[in-house]
Amino acid sequence: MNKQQTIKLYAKALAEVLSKKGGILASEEKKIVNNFIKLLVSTGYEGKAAEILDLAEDFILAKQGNKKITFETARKITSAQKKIMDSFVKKGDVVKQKINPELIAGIKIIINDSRQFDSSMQSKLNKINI
Amino acid sequence: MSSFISQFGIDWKLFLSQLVNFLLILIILRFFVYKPVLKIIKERNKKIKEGLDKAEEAGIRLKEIDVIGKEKIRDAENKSMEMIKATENKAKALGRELQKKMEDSQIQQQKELQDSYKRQQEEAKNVVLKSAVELVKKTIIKTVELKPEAIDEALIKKAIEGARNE
Repeated sequence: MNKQQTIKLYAKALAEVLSKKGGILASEEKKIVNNFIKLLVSTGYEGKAAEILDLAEDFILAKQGNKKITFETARKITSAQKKIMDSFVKKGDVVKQKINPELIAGIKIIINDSRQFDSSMQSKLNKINI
Repeated sequence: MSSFISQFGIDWKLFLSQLVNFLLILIILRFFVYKPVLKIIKERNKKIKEGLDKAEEAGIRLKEIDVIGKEKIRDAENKSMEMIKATENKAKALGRELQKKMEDSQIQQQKELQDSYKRQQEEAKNVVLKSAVELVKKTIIKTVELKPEAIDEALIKKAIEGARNE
């Protein structure tokens, strides 16, 4: 098994435990997290903890039928724009917002760090290149 | 008979002694002069004949040598003609090859010139196009800066629709 597969396996295991049917108690959650950190340290994967947690979050969200959505805009959004964006967000989705002036205008939507919808002026201008 | 001989003054004794002398001289001459001289003459004749034979043989040989010499000269002439012809052919082939090389080189140079000209034209075209694109981009950015919210809103709507239809 290679490193990436191990990371995926750890994330999946963590997601399975944390999203147990009926939920878990806060004390149980603490114990699980502690044990998990110990496991990572003993197997030398402590440096990959952030990546594993990110992936576990994706698994949990997917299991619940939710998504992790990142909205990247060129400037701070207006309330009208927020309304349009909110129409895409479901209850339970994890939403992140980022400002990136290089986009010039428009928006870039990244879903679960894997799918991307780029409707920014930057991407449109790049397409005009010879 | 004896009277007849005596009438001629022949003295038998003298005659006989002279005859004996003559025979003796004849025998001596035959043994000591005639035979050696004859032998010498025969040897000389033999030598002369040999000389003549050799001279004749030499003549024949000379004729043969003359024929061989003539043949050799003819062969040499033929060979030199062939060599001259071969050299001429080689020179012609070399000339043709050089001519072809020169033509090829000219064609190559022409092609390189044409390519270079095309490349330069293409580069110039690209520079113009790039400048035009940059100008268009700058104009769009300026336009966006005039009313960014409206453009943002339109693009956000489009992105949301796209993401929803996925």
